[in-house]
Amino acid sequence: MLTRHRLSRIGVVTAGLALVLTGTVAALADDGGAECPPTQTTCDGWGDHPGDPGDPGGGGDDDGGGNGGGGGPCVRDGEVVDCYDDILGWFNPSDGCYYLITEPQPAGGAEGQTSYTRSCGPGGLAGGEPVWLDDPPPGFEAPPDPAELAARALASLDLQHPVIGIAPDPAVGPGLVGLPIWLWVPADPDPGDNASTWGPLTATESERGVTVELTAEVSKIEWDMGDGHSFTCPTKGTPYAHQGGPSPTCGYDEGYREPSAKNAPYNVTAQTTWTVTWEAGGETGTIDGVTRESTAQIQIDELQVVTK
Amino acid sequence: MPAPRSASAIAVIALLSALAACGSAPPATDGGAMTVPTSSADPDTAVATQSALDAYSGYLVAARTAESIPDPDYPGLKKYLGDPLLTRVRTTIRDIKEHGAMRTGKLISDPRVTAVSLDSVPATVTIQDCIDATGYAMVDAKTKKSVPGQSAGRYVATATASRYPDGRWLINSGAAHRDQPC
Repeated sequence: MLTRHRLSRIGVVTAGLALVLTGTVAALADDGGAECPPTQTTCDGWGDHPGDPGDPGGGGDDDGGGNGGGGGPCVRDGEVVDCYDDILGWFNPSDGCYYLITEPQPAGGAEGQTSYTRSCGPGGLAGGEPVWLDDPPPGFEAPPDPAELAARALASLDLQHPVIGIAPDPAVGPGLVGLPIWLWVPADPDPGDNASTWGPLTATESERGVTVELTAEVSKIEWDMGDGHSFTCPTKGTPYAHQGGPSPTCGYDEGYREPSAKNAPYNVTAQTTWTVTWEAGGETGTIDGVTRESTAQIQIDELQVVTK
Repeated sequence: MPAPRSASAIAVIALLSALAACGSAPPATDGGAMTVPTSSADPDTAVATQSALDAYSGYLVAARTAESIPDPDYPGLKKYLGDPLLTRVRTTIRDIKEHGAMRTGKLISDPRVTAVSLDSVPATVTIQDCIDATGYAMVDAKTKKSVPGQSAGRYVATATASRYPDGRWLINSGAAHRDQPC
């Protein structure tokens, strides 16, 4: 309404023809904030930033270990960002902007200069300005970082928490003091997909001619029996097979010494440590600190309760 | 739009609308009806003006197509756009795509040339438009339901066409001015 009245007055004063010729309607006021292209009036209203690191997809587990191997050279305001964006170009660590060669090259450059389109700020939307440079900016046309691709490959896998197999089976009844406990991780019901409690899992990630092949497999499992005893097994153990004696591969062979308190069963914690290795055209690396953890409960009774 | 307060206001607005043809015109086709500033109607200016308007209307058509797919790599964009606007348009299309949205509907454009500068390097033509995006909606790509709060109405848009070394005129900058209804 306001604007319309203002325009009306202008129309009356300049009278007809002049308006057609000069087109003075609505001066080119600067919008203050980020400008949107003519047909795209909502270009920054999403509240997140496409230039920021990609969403990892499956496998987003709680342990922060899943994103190991990051911390590459591409950091803006303390946050790791993609070193290359397929629209914005290459990240320049020295100024936090993305650069690509302006397409097409405009007229007006000095001899030897190249026009780059520079995009700064989250998502690159705040920038998008041409700059003439004698030399490519730092980071320009840097090849993909295999470690970054490896982190992405790992994020595509679902490294599951260990499923705890335990005998005597707490679902059936309490265990007894002094009798061996069997511990194991059940076999993968769906081998071949990208989810497993033990592995090996493999993933491949490619970008601009660089291919990373990544393998993830549990190398050890640490059992904490909840009574102060803990030990490590190198294998997933042996499922209980209705026989006497200790597990041949992984168990609490001497058994609990004390019965669990009433209504306070022992917490048995299993933590798997994943060995994650990757290979890219002769270059190799590892991603450390990838662990998963689960807890189960077992009740232990006095031996004499049963022998009575 | 609120109702004008008096009959005289209606008359003034009607006159203004007729003069400016703002938003009431059909979608621009090739910009052939645009008025060239008469004071500088030499052949070079006329060619520049026409080329710039052609690029502008080509850009609007390409952007609409790209936004309806949506595809930030839609090849038509490079035919009419140069950087930095090309990159800006592409990131914006990628943005709506990543959010599972697209744009659909009619976009009414009424561009005019406000300045021609053939002496500068690069040579430029400045365009002002009144875009009516009332019928142009952002919708959920799957359900086709419109995204709330995204209606733009009618607003002023500005754009600059530049002449490139190979002789082409491309739109290389532009902005929507939503704070300026028209």
